[in-house]
Formats: sequence, C-alpha cells, structure tokens
Amino acid sequence: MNLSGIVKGILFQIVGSFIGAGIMGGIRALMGLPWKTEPAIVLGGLVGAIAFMVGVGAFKDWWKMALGEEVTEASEVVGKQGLSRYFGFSLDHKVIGIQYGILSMVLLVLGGSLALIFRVELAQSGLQLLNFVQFNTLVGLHGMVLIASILMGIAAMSNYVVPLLIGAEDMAFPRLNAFSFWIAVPASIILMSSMFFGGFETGWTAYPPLSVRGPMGIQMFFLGVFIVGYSSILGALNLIATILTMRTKGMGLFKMPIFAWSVLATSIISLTATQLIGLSFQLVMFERLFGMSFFTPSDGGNPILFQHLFWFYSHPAVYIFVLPGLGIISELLPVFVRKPLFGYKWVAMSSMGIALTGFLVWGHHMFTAGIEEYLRVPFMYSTLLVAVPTGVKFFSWVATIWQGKARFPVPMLFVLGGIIVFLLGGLTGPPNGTVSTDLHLHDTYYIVGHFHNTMFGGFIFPIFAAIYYWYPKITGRRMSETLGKIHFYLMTPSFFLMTFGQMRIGLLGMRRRIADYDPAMGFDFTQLLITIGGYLIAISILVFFYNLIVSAKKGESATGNIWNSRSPEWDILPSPAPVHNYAGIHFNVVGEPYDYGLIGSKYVELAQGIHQREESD
Amino acid sequence: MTKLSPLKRGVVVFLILGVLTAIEYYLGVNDVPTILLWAIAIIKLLLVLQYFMHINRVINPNKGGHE
Amino acid sequence: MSSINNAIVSYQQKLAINRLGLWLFFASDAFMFGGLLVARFYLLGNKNLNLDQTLGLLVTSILLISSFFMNRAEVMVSEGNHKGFITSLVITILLGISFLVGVVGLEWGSAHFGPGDGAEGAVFYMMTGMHAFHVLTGIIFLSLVLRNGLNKKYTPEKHYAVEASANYWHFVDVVWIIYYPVLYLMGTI
Repeated sequence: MNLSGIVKGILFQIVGSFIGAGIMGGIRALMGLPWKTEPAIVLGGLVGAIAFMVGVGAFKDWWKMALGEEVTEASEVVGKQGLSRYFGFSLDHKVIGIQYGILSMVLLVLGGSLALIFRVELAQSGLQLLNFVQFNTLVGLHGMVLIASILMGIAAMSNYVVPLLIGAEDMAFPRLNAFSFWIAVPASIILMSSMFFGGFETGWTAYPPLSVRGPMGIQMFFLGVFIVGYSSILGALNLIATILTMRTKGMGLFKMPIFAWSVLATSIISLTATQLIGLSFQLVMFERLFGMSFFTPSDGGNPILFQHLFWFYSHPAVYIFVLPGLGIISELLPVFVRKPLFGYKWVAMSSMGIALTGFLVWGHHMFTAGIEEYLRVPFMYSTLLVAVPTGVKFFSWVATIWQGKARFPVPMLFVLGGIIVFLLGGLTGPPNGTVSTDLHLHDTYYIVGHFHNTMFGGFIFPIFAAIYYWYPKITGRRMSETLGKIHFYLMTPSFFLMTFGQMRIGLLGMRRRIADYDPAMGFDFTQLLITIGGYLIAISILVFFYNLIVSAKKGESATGNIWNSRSPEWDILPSPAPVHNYAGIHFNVVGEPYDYGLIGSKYVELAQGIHQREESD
Repeated sequence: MTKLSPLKRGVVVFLILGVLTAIEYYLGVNDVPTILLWAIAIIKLLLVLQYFMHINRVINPNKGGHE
Repeated sequence: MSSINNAIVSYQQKLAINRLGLWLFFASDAFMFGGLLVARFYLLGNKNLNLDQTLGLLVTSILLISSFFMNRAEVMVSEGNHKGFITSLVITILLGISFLVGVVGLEWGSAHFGPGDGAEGAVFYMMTGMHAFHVLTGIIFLSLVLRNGLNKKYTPEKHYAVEASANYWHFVDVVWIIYYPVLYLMGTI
C-alpha cells in the first residue's frame, strides 16, 4: 500500500506514542513504582515525534550517510509532481515552502478558532460557556498555536522566496530543510494534545510556580513548543547558510533584495535565542518530572530565573515574527510605487539593528515581577532604543511612497494596511516600555491590544500581501482581485474595532487571562464589540481561503512578470516557477535591486552566450 | 606555531592545556579570585577553538581543504 | 576535464557550506549551555558545590586527553596514516566512555545530594547531565566514524565526517572547559 508521507507519519506517531508511554510504564514497573500518566505521556510524546520522522522518511538518507553510503544529490532527486508532492517528504525548497504555508494556515485556523470560542465567553460578564481551566487553556493555546503558525508562516515565505531572490538552486541543506518542516507537524499535534490531558492554567508564558503545580497538559505544551523551537532553530541555520554562501555571482550582500536581509536578521535571533525558551521549558518539565527545584523558592529555586530565560527568547521572538513581514513591506512597496527603496543600506542595517538591540530588552516584561530595582531603567532605555531602527524603516517607507506612481492591487493594499497597523503597534509600545506607565498597564487588555497590533501589522497583513503577490509564481494564476478587496476591506476595519476595544477596556482596568469581569465595570458592550470584530475577521479569512482554493483552478492565467518587478524570480523565471529554479539559466547582477523608474537600468540580466557553453560541456 | 607539523602542534597545545588545567586546579582549591579561573578557562577555550577546531576554516572559507 | 574540475570546486564549496552549518549549530548550542550557566550563577551565586575534587580533576583530564587523541586522529587521516587514525580514534572513544562512567557512574553515585535536593542538586545534575548527553551523542558519532573508517571510507582528501565529529568532540570539550571551573572550583563553600 502506498501511503502518502504524512499519513504514514501520523500512524507511526500514534504507535510510537503508545510504545514510548509503555516503555515509561515498564521502567517504572521494574523500579517497583505504580503507573503515573505524566512521565508516560512525556516520553510517549517524544518517541511519537521521532517515530513520525521515521515514518515520513526523514532519516532514510541520513542513515545511509551515517553508514558511509552514497546518497543522491538533493538537486538530482526526482520528486513527485502534482498535488501529492505536498503531502510527502520532498527536498525541493519550493515544495517545502508551500508545505510550511499549509501548516501555517492550518494552525492559523485552529488558533483563531480557539479565540472565537473564548471570545464568546467574554462577550458578556458572568460565566456562560467555559470553566476557568478551559478558558485558560484556550487562551494559552490561542497564543502558542498562533506563535507556531507565525513561525511556520515566516518559514514558508523565507523558504519559498529567498532562494529564488538570491538566485540559488535550493537551500544550503535540503534534507535538513525538509526535516525542520516535518518535525513541526508532530510538534503541532503534541501542542494541541495538551487540551486532552487536562489543559493548563498559565497562559502561553507558562510561568512557574503555577506551571509546576497545575494540570499535566502543560507537559504536552512544553514538549510541543520545544520541538517547534528546534524546527525554528534548524530552519534559521539553513537560511543563514543559504544567504551567506549561495548567492548568485555578483550579488554582494548590499545588492541582495531587502527581504533576504530581514530574513538574515530574523534567523540570527531564532538560531540563538530560541535555545533559551527551549531550556526554560525543559527545566520546568524536569522540575515536574524529577523534582529538580529550579523554580520553587522553598527549595532554593527562584521563579524569576524562568522569566529571565523565557523572555530572553520571547521578546526577541517578537522581532522574529515581525522582521520578515517588515521585509516584505520594504520589498513590495517599491514595486507598487515605481520608485527606488529609500535608503536601502539603512533599511538593511535597521533589520540587523532591531535584531541585535532585541537581545538587550527582555527585562521590560518583568518590571512588575520583582526584579532588581537597578535593572529597570537600563531595560527601559534599551527598549525605547528599538524605536530608532524601527523608525528608520518607517521613514524609508514614507520617503519611498512620497511622489510615487502608486498602483493599488490587493498586495499593495495589504502592504499599506500593514504599515498603518504596525505604526499603531509601534506607537502603543513605548507606554509599555516605560517603567512608570507599565506599572499601570502591565497585564491589562491594553497589552493585548498592543501586541495584536504588532502581530497583525508585522505578520498577518504582510503575509497576506506576500501570498497575493507570489501566488502567481506558485500556481501560474492570479487570485481574484474582487475577493481580495473584500477580504481587505472587511478585515481591516474589523481589526481596528477589535484592537481599539481591547486597548480601551485595558486602560480602564480589564485584566488579561480572566474569564469573567464585574458587570459594574461597564465593559460588556465593548467586549461584545471585540467579539464581533473577531468574528468579522474570521469571516474575511474564510473569503481569503475560498479565493486561495478557487483561484488555483479558475484564476486568471498569469505567467509573465505581472507586477513589473525587477527581482530575478519575476524578471527571468516564468510562472509557475520551474522545478530546478535557475538550472541552465545564468544571470548577472548588473544594477541596484530597487532602481524603479530609472530609465534603462536593470537589476539582473541574462548572461549572453552561456547557453551554448552549457550544451558543449 | 604555524611552522610546526600538525601532529607536533597538537602535542604542544595539549601540553599547554594540561599545564593550564593544573594551575587552574591549584588556584581553585586555594580560593583565589574567581576572575583568574575565568581567565584561564577562556585561554583554554581559545586554544581549543584555534588549534583543535580550526575556527579559521569557517571564517576564511577560501583556504579550503583539510589541513 | 572541466567536469572533474567542477567536481572539485563543488566539493570545496560544499565543504565550506557544511563547515558554516556546523559552526552555526555550535553557536546555537552554546546559547543553551550559556543559559544553564546563567541558571547556576542566578540560583547559587558564589556558592561552591563542595564536590569530590580528585574525581573532578580526573574526569577533566580524561576529557582533555581524549580531545588530544581526537586531534591526532583527524591529523592522521588527513596525512593518510590509516592505522594511526584508527588507533587514535579508538583511544578517543574509550576515553569518552570512561568520562561518562566517571561523571554519571561515580560522581552521580557519590555526590552528597540527589537531583531533588534543592537548587544545588537541580543545577549540578542538569549541567552535568546535559553535558553527558552531548558526550554520549559524540561517542555515537565517533563510533559511526570508526565503523566507516575500518571500511576505508575516508581519504586524505575527503573526510569531512571525521572533521565534523572531531569538531563536535572538541566543542563538547570546550563546554567542559567552562563547566569544570564553574561547577568544581569557583565560589566558597
């Protein structure tokens, strides 16, 4: 029977999970201990994830390499064609990019639906639908599932687009690339399964001591995030190696398309900082499993340590989420206003600046946590410093738009929406980074409103722009402009309704992660509006999915350079992109990437006479 | 050290590391300022990075080749 | 002719990419070990763990000597000295196993606290355990290299697997170079 990779993987995962749980039960039985579910599900989850990878075939080539046998070069592996290639193990970065995209969208739907459930609970005061643990589980999973969705989404964009932009044949390590995608699938399943093991009460931050004591669903949450983290680390490693070593001849670092710069900056953060969230979660897992008291004060531990380790990743993580999105904005804006990107070098360096400053700001999440007094002000200054490179980006966009000949197809609408929403996110940030105001705002709905702004402006809007923009490159067909405009004009005002509502009640004192509130606070009407806004966003996303699926078959055919872009994937390649990106095509970088409007200038040019030489070789 | 043959270089580096470890141990059991222990550890770390792990090969990829 | 040249160029190119990838992995892993270091100083401060100094010096020396033989093995394979390569590699693996026995078998057995005994126990077992896990994986890599080496898979020109696992082994040694003074020597009792 010829099962597709993913089905086989999931079957293996189920069997592996039971084997792992059985092994743990067996070990404990041998030691004379009674059955305990918690260690069993942890080992079961881990073994299940490895079994999934075996089932999907990720270890096959590595096993051969370990035994010193020759394996086929990744570029010579003949993959499947047609739709089925997206459901099995493939080494092609374009297939993997789309697989990441599918996973991201699946997680987006799951995470969004969780929010829709608890928004109903919050729409009026009193408890109607959920109990406290259910509510907390939903809130926590909404956060983490969407973080996973965002990580997958940026991996999708970078995987599909970066090798095409820099003229590479594939990623630096194609097998590792496939591995880092597929490991995220069992990880997502494990993450979601935390709902069925009692849930958890902590929200996505999983602070001890609550996470040390609460229900054991938290273990599945930790394990899932840990593995997603590894997926992200390995993906970042691959992207850095690709960008540094696989650029086409003549493409110096400062001739790269700007999106490659932002992916490089993002990848530096996720390569290094992600280890710290993995470590902090691992320490809590071990504290629960082996009684190692890292975070229990009565035994010499310190819960603040967890917050330091956790935020050392989780604040830079915000920049991981938004930098690729901001890169997309800088990449697409010049195409649609027909003007050079203003201050290319500054924009490139600002991504690096945000990435590096991002390592120094984690303490601003802990102003109220009881950290040392003398740490507060330095963290406040470093936090506000992030506004400088971010401001560079905004001024660059404004100057790029200035006097441009703007066109407004759907991708451009989402780019502009992204700029405005991210600006709102940026302006609502400094009050949280300033100690005096943060003491009032900490853990309120204002924070919720603020970070939904940054996530929508920095990720959701740009990724929709990217999908509308590169969709023809993937399918050879355009997505419907009308449906795209409905999507945009429905989502944007609904989003503002939601986020302004959140910030309003936050300023008035509504706390985060609370299932119920006093009707005397007068939040009922605003909460209802927020819920309505959330549902309208969900409807607009449904329109988007309808458009996405229907256009693949019925969309208007678009094989050429439909956006009049200068970058090589539009200028040189036909749509849909050929299986072996630039095989047999040699192109030279002859100009600046964004000199739109400069008559006679070109960024890339096909090398003359190369074809004959190729054939005589 | 670049003039030595790779095998001899390995011996020399190893001997230096051994001596440093002995000093480190002696200092450690005699309660000296921690900064000295850090200094020795970092010297040892740099020696291993340079002569055993060949960090230059990745910084200067054009040199290529093994050894 | 030109295709042979191309093959050499492409091997060189791949070598450079593989080396970069490996070092990026080290950078990433170093952050994890660094996080444990932070945990040690955050929870224990300037407190000495009062461990068996003789055993500590012994395992440290064993790992250092194994790193020396690992370096010899790598140099020898690049000089075409097959026999010397295999001998040094076997010595490295044996020393690696004795290190594990020393830390996990003796030190864990004789320490005056268990993993559940307060912050000292938690930090000590986590740090040594995480390092021992890396030693274990290093031994597995080296055993695979030994197997392939016995089958004469490596030439003086092409032996990246030897270089990579040697680098990994040295990386594990580097971690211990920091962890040894941090766990055994620093602080006051």
